[in-house]
Amino acid sequence: MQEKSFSFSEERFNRLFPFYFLLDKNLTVISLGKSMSKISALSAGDFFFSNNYIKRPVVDCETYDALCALSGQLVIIGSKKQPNLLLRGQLDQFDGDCLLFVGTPWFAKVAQLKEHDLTINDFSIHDSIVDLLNLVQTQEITNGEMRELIQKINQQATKLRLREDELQATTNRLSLLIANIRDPLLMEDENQKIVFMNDAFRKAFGLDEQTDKYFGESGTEITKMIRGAFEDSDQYYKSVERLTESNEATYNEVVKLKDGRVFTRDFNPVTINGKSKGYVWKYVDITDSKLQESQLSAQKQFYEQILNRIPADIVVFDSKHRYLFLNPVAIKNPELRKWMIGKDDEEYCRYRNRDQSIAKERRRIFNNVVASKEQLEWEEQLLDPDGNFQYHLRKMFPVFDENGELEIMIGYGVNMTERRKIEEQVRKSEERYRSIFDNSQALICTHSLDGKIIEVNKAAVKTLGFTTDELIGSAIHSLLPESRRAEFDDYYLESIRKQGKAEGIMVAIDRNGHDVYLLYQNFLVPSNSEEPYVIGFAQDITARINAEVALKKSEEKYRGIIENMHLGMVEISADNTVLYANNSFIATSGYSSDELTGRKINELFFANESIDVANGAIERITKGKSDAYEIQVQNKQGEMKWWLVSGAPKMDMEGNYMGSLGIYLDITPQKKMEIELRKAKTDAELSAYSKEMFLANMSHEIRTPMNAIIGIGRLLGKTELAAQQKYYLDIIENASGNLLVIINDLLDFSKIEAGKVTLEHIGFSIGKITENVVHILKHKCEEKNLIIKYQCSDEIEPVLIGDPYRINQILINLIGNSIKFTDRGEIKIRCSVENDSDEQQSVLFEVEDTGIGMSEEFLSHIFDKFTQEDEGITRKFGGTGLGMSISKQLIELMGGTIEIRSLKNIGTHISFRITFPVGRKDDLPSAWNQKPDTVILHGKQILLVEDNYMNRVLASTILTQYGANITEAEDGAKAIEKLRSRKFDLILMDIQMPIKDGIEATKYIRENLDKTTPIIAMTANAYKREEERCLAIGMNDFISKPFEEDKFIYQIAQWLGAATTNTVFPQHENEVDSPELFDLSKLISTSRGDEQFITMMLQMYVQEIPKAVEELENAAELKDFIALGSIAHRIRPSVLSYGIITLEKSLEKLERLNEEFLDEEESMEITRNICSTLNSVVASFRLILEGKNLSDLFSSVK
Amino acid sequence: MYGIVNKAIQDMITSGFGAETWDAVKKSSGVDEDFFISNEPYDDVVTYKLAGAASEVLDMPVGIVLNSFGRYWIMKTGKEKYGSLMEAGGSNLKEFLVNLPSFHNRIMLAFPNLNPPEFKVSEIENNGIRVHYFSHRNGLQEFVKGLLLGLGELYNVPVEVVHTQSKEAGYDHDIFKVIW
Ligand code: HEM
Repeated sequence: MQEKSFSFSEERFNRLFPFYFLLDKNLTVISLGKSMSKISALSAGDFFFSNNYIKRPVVDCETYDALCALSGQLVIIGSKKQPNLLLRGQLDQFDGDCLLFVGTPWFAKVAQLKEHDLTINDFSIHDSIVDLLNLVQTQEITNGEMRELIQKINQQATKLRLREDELQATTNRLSLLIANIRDPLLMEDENQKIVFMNDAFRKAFGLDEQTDKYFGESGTEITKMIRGAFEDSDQYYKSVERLTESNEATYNEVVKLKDGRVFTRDFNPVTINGKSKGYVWKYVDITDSKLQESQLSAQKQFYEQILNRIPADIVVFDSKHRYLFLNPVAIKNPELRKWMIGKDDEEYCRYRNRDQSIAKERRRIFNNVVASKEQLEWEEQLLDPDGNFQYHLRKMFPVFDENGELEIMIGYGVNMTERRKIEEQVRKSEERYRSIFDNSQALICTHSLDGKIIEVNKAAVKTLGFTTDELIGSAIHSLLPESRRAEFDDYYLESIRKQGKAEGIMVAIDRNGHDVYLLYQNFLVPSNSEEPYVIGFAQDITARINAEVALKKSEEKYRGIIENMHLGMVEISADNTVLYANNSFIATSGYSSDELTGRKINELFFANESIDVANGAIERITKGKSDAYEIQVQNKQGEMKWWLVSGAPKMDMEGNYMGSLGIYLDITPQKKMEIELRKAKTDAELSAYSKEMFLANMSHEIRTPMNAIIGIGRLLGKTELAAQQKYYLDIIENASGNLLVIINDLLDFSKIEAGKVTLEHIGFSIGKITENVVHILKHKCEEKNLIIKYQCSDEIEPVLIGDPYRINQILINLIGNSIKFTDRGEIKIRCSVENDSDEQQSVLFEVEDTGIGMSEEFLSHIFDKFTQEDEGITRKFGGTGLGMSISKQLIELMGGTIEIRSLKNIGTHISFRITFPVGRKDDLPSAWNQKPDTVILHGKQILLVEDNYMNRVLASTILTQYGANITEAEDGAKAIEKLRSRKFDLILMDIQMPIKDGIEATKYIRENLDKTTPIIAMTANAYKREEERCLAIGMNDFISKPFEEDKFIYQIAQWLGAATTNTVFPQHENEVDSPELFDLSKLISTSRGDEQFITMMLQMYVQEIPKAVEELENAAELKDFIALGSIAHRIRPSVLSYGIITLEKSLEKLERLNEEFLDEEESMEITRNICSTLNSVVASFRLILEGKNLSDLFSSVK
Repeated sequence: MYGIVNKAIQDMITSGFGAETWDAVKKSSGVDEDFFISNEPYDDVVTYKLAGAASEVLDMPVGIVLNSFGRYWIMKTGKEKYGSLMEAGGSNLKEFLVNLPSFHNRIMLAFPNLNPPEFKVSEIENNGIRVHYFSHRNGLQEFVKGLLLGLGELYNVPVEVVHTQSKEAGYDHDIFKVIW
């Protein structure tokens, strides 16, 4: 084996032996280990022994040789300056002229590491000194624990000993005690072995031996030994068995002995910690007491029984007024009765929670009785436990001893409550009858059988006008008119006597001599005790009788009035036949009375819509309802009249319709006036409408500059700003942002109010919309550290038909609100299907937040216009408070409902549900299913206003193919010029143009030149807002660029007034996904096979686009982002016409540069991409143009 | 685990809530030992039972008991019984944590039957470190968290401990990011 020689770098050596010394022949330190230098007072160059000495083994002289001789031994080196620092290691000679010491500090405690500022890293890893120290430490800890443990055990042992001594002492004491108990006592252990028996036991039951002889004996044996002493030995034996078996404590059992002694026996099982430990039997000799007791108790029982059975309260007091006895009538409850013995009334009242006054009163009476030595009687009223009054009649009767001292007091009494009650009832019922009698509206009177009045009530007195006294005792006879007296005697009194009753109408004369008609019903009241009498009830019907007479008289009179009154009156039968018409009606109708009666009223007057009104009214009347309505009629002369008709049904007793009575008022002049008024009102409303339009226009006016402010603000924000400037900018951004929201809200709102909102009915995907909304609002959430979650059920059909823009708007509003009003937590959005059928789906949208929530009060107004919880909120969160109202109105316009639940400081849950028809894939917007009747374009004059040459060519080419005549204008100003001199059928207006843009131009045209010609905006701005703006300023429609030919023509045809035919348009299948650089199929289909057109278009591209590319590159170089945006805007439509769809997204991004900020790097990258793609297309087009291989192109599309 | 652990639990509960509470914990745990000897190994079950019972008796989640125990372990058992050992482990928190992987290996000399966890460290930065915790035992993550917080206390630096990977999520070990 080859020998390996080691060579160590100093670093490695240090790593392995950080505690070393290297000494030269003079014992000077050449070098020392990195850890050694930390602890040693020496440094290189010092003499070794200047500080160190060899502690072990002992050396005689401190020389190099002496040290060399130590190699091979454990060497311990001491330090003179640091007495507690020892090094433990070995010495080794090195290369013949050096001496190496390697070792490690010899510490006794880990703590010493710290003293020397050492950590584990100062030791080589193999060095276990530190770990050993830890071992020692652990050992020490354990030793400590052991000491603690031993101490604990010692303590416990001592405690235990003490307890044992105590226990012994207690046991001894107890044994002594038990031994001396006079009552017989026997103890058994759990196995029924006798553990103890006292002498009393032995003696009582005749056992002969010393007690301790029986210890250890079986209990059963003992029982057997003693059972002979008992009256019934068998029963005794069994009872012992029974008790031991039951193991239940039993006391005071009486056992009798043959010799007449009687004992009670207590049986006590002993259990300790739930375990049976034996039994204790204790006997008590009760022979003597038993005898006395039985005699006494017999007597006592006898008297008590008597007292207990007397049906009256009986109590006995001692001289101190304390209860000695109470019988059950006095106190029913036996326990309470027992308790009362020895107590006085104060205690009793306190115990029963009674008023102390009762006790006081009783004591007073007690004292009176004692003083007067005489019985006393009084009544007492008490509340029983049910809260009812109890009445007692009480007596106290004193018993004195021979010395005249009070011995006992006997109290007795009866409960009179029942009697009182009956008395009271009688009284009350009498009172009741009296009050009925007195207060009855009917006249009541009693009279004797010979017609003398006994009693009359108030009503009778009042009706007749005589006083009670005048009436009582007088004969009824005298109250009647002469003519009726015979009838009274013959008929009335006779009937009473024979049938016991009489009824009829009696005429009496009152005090003033007037006739009083009385409808009466009188009865005979038989009576055993007194004379029978008659009681009569009568009703004064004088008024009714008089009225009947009066009515008859007046009927004549009214007929005359009706005949001549100004109101027309007609009575008709159930089949509408006129029964009667008064003079006024005859006059306004123009018919004579004869012409009217017998004819049907509805046939006479009502025509057209009036028939429906009249029939409706008649129908209501036949159902028994009175009704009033206005109706237009034609009278006999053919004059149109307005009548106000008030009809009332005539019903017979069974509620059958018998016809009606109508009152007719001629309101023709009033009606005329009303119509005029109504027109005035409509005019007023129209002006309100135009106010709304003004508002909308204003909003647009403000929005345009706002956009600029915001855009510039963003640009500014990208530049270096001082803190103060940044602060101002923030304010500007915030303020303008808020303002913009407000204006948009206002605009929406006024559109809804004006009923100008039209809803789209196009295919869309709910999932896409929600996803998009969440995407838009995500950053707002991130800004506020909110979590936004959304979930869209996959049960929702991929295509539904509805208005995606409005859904989008609603979601943005609701979620935006949630974000606004939530400071922590999350916003959850859910879409799910509530009702599903093949044709439609009801979709539930939910937005839930953990925000500040709303009060109930506020919730009730949430949908009002301009609502925000309080002004503070407006200030803090901004907005118009129109959002909720707008959302609600939009949802309702879509036939949906919205619902809000909210808890203040907990959060808000908004849900709305809308039912959408289910659509198919090809309902999605790109498909255009209706083909307009394009013939209408033929010969139509169309003004095309467009600054972009390419777009102009494209549009006019298409239109010309449909036979329209196109006039072109390059900007708004030129368009206006053209319009001054001639009229067009339709104007197509680009929006972004130099000189005068589309908006301005349209405004001018609408205001000054032409209010009616349809103007269709062509906008490259994909925003709905822009479209709304166009509509607001008086344009009629808009077309988004790049447009599809079919849609374009369709829209134009529509505005030219074409009817649509429902033909399904073929879809361009291969148009959908073309990975190609460009796709000319659209252009080709537009060209209708016109090669020249295509050539022109391609040439145009080859000419125009390189210029645009150059412009783009320049702008990019100058970092002129605004220019980049507008160039992109300009070329996007045409680029897309050539189907270069790969550029669509990038161009859009560039275009939005002045609104949204992309970082510089990104915009440059995008621009580079666009330029290179455009150039490649130029190259391709050149090739096509050179080869002129266009026919291939065509066939590829067809 | 060695008796020292159970003893520390006992000390923590006794010093914090009184001897009666400890008796209640012991009773509820069903552990019969009256006395734990530090360098005597006990079945792990004993320790788990004690922690569980403490959580029950004190009506706290077991996580909180373990977390507090971790801190107690460092601040009391570590500092008071093995103060010098802890100090020798490093002169500052970072150094200590860097040495943590061999910490228990050294202790093995004193506790020959030790079945200690294994620690690894990574991403050592000026104010943070990732501590990887491997153990054949389960459910002691909160304890480790407490230990790491305790170390912060020991070195007087406020630390934040984030549990970035969990065995419960199916990984083979736990990772704690310690930031100070
Ligand atoms: C004085 C210092 C320390 C000593 C004496 C010590 C000792 C012990 C002992 C005896 C065990 C029980 C293991 C067994 O018995 O099998 C243990 C477990 C444990 N130690 Fe330490 N330790 C100390 C410091 C630390 C420190 C600073 C940490 C980490 C930050 C730590 C983390 C752990 C963990 C997590 C366990 C639980 C066992 C497992 O997860 O498997 N220890 N330690």
